[in-house]
Amino acid sequence: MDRPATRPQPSSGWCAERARAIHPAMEDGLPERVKTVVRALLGGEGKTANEWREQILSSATGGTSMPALPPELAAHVERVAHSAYKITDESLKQLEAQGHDEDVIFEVTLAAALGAGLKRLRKGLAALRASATGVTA
Amino acid sequence: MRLATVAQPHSLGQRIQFRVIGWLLGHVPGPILTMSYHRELFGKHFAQCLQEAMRGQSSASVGERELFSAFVSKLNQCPY
Repeated sequence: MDRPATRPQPSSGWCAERARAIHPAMEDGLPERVKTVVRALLGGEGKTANEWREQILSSATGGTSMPALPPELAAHVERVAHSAYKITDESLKQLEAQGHDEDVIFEVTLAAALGAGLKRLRKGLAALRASATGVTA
Repeated sequence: MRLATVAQPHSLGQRIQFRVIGWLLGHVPGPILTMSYHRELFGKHFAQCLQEAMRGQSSASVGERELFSAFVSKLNQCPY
């Protein structure tokens, strides 16, 4: 699989429309304000390719498999999503030493953290709905 | 803040904001730094979301919501 390059992206307005077209399932059932956060991160202009952020977020929500990230970034995504407390100054320094600049690390971390947060939010909303209807998941 | 660039103010407004917060708290908390960096990409939108969740209309009081957040942060081994 080709690895998407890190590159500048078109303006956020265009990208927001694009994100809306690509992610109906990802946004399904989410509050409107949360959808806005997802659209901004996936469609906004950044140092990483939009496809990276999209795949990382999807992966962290438990959706698609991990994108074709360099292994050290994939490991970072995994840590952010499942055991963020294990992230240390040293682990971030290692990423930088491996050639990833701080903007890339920042965006990858945001996408993974937002994906992990959405996964928990969905579970919480489902529990509330089940509680309201008296049906257990 | 572990990423140096995120800890730096990137506009005059942020410089003033960080100075004031630093003066009041002794440091600028990580969540504020994170939401201040590349605001269009994340912070601007997430801040509105956070405000609504933590201070908006809800059956849970503000104090209860703060307690929920602190409890979840504790489970995540994250300072709150």
